[in-house]
Amino acid sequence: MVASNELDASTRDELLDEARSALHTDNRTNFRVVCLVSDHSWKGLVDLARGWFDVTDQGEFYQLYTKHTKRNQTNHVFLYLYQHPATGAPIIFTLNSSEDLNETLDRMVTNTEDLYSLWLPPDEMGELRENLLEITGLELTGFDYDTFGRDQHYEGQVRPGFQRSGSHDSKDAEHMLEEWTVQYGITATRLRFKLATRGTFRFSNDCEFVLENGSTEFLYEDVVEPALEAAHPLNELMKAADLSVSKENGFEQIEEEPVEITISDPLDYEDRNEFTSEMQKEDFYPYSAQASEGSLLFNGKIADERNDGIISVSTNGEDLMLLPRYDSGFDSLVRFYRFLVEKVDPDTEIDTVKV
Amino acid sequence: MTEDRIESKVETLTADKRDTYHRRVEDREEELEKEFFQNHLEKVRTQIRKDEEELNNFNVIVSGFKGRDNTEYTYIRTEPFIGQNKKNFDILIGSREKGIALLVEYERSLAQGTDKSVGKFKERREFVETDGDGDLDPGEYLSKAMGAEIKDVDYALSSQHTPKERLEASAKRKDINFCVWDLGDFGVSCSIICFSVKKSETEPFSGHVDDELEEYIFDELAGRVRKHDYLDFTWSSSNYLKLKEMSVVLMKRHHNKGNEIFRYADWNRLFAEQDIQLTNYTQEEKKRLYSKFIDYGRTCNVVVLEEDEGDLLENGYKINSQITRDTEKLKEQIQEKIARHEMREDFEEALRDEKLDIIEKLHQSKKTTLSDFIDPD
Repeated sequence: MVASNELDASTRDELLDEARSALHTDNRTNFRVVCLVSDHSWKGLVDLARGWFDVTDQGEFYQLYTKHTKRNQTNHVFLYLYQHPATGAPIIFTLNSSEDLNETLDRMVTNTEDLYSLWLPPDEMGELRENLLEITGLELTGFDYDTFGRDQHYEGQVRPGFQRSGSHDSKDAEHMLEEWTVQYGITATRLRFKLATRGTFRFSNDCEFVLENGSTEFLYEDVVEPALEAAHPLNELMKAADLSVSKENGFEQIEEEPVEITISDPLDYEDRNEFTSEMQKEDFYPYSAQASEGSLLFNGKIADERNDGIISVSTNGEDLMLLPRYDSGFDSLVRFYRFLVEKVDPDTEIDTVKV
Repeated sequence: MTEDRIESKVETLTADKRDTYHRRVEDREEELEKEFFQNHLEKVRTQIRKDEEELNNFNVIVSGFKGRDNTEYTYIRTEPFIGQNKKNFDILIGSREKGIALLVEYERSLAQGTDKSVGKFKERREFVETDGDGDLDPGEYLSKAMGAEIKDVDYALSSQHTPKERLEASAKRKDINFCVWDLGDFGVSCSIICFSVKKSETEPFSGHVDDELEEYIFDELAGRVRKHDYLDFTWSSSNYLKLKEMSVVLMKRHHNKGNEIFRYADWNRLFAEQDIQLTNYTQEEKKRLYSKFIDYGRTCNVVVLEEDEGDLLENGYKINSQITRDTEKLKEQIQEKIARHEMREDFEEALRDEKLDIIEKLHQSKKTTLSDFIDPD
C-alpha cells in the first residue's frame, strides 16, 4: 500500500506528534504548515471548503480531502484545517507536497473572496529572521530573493536599477543576505534554516512553512506562531476598512473606515503611466479613474481581476487611501498594499493613527 | 422617405442599373456604418468623461460632509426633488439637529455665462422659497428627506472656479445675495472656501444662516480634508455612464459571485445598501431609476431578460456579456453597444439619403456605361 498522508489525530498536539513520526519513518515526506487569513466566520469558512473538499470534523480541526491527477497518477490530498486560537487565522497542516497544495488549496484561496494566504511584509519577515537567529545553534543556510520597488538608489549600492532575483545557499548565507541587501538592494522572499537539534526548515513570505526533518512542535511554536502574530495587525487593519450605509430611523448615513498609506519614496506625476501599467500586471484594472489635472496622481476605482473585488484608490503620489467598494473583500486591499510594497516602494507604510 | 418608397424607386431602374445600385449601396453602407460607429463611440466616451468630471466635483462636497466629526451638517443625498421630476439643486446637506437644509448647486463654469448660472440658481431657490409649484411642497419634501422638521433652508452656489467680481456684477443684475463655495480638488484631498456675494455693499446679508456652518467651512474645509470618489453616478448622469457603471458592478459583484440573474432587490442591495450611490433616495425613486436602467440596458442589448415574472421589479435579468473578468474589455463592449444603439437612427437616415442619391445618379445616366461600375467618389 502506498504511504498515506492521512492523519488520525484529533488534537493539535497529537497531530504534531503523528506528523513528526511520519517524517521520521519516511524521509521523502515533509511537514507543511500554510497560514491563511480570512474574514469569514469559522463556520462560513468550513462551509466554503465543502465546495472544494470532502470535509470531516476531526476533533480540534477539520480534515479536508480531495484528489487530483497529474502525469496519470492520482494523488490523494489530506489537509487539516485548524484555527489558530490567538489570532483566529486558519492554518493548514499537511504531509502532502507543495504541488498538491498548488492543485487544490491554492485554487480555493485564489477564487474565494475574503480569503488570502497570510503575507509577511519584508520588515516582518526580516524581524522574524533576526529573532530566529537568536536561537542558539540556529543558522540561515539559504534564501530566495527579489528586488522590490521601482529603481532605488541607496547610497553605496552597486549598479543600482537592475532587477535581481534568484536563490542562494551557503554556510555564510546570513552574511550574504545582509551584504546583498545593502549592496544590491535585494529582499528575501524565502528563507532556509537549520538547527542541528531541531531540524531543517524553510518558509516563504506567503507563510508556507516546510519542515524536512526534526521537531514539528518547534516549527509550530517557534516559527509559525511568531509569524502569525507578526502579520496579524496588518490584516486586522485591512479587515476593519469599510464603506457602507448605516440606517437610523430610516435616515441613511455614510460610514467609512479607509486604509491610509504613506509612500516614503513618493511617485511623481510622470510616474502615473508606469504606476497604472504595473497595477495592471498584477491584475488590478483602473476602470473609472476620474481625470483631473495638476498634482493629482490617481483617483478612481480599481477592479481586482483575480477575485472581482472593487476598491477605491486615491493618491497624490505620497499619501494613498484605500476603500473597499460594493462590499468587496479585505483581500483586495492586502493584495494592493502588497503590490505597493513589492512594485512601488518597499518602505510603504500603513498609517495606524487616523487623521 | 421610407424603405418601401426607396424600393419602388429601385424597381424603376433597369436590371443593369439595379445591379450597380446594389453594389454601390453595399460599399457605401459599410463605409458609412464604420464612420457613424466611430463618431458615436467617441461621443459616448466624451460624455462619460464629462459626467465623471462633474461627479469629481460632487465628490468634493460629499467628502466635506460625509459624517465628519466637527459638524452637525452631513451629506444627505444627490439631486433632491429629482424623483418629482423637478430638476433642481444638485446636493442636499443638512443638520437634522438644527433643522436646517442646505441646498448646493454645482456649476461647471461660473466665468462664462455667469448671469445665466446665477439666474438659474435664483429660479431654483425661488421654487423652494415660494413653496414649489402646487404639486410639490418643498418644505414638506425636505423634512421627509431629512427625517427631521425643517426650520430653515440655506443655499450655496459652487464651482471649481469662482470669479468674485463677475459674480458680484451678476448678483447686482439678478438682484440676489448668495453664498459661493469654491471647490478645490487636490486628488487625495480637497477644500471648500466659502464667501458671500451681495448685490450691493450696503446689503445686510452676511452669508450662511448658521454661523457654525461658516466656522466649520472656514476652520476645517478651507484647509484640506480627505477626498474619495464616492459617487459613481447620480440620477441625471447620462444613460451611458449609468449603464456602464451599473453593468460593470453587477457583473463583478453579482454575476461573478455565482449568480446567474439579478432582480431589483439585488440591484438595490449593491447600490443602495452596500455602497453609497443612492443614499436617502426614496423607494419610489430607486425603482424608477432601476426601470430606466433596465429599459435602456435592454435597448442597447447590454441587459437581457432571463426570467419573465410579468413585473419589471420581479423579473430576472442578466448582463449580456461573455466577458466576465477582463474589466477593460467589458467596459469597451458596453460602450460599443451603446454607440451601436445610439447611431442607429442617424445611420439609417443617412443611408436612405445615400440610396436616393445613388438612384438619382443612376437615373441621370442615360444608359449603362463603364462608369457605372466605378464608384463616383
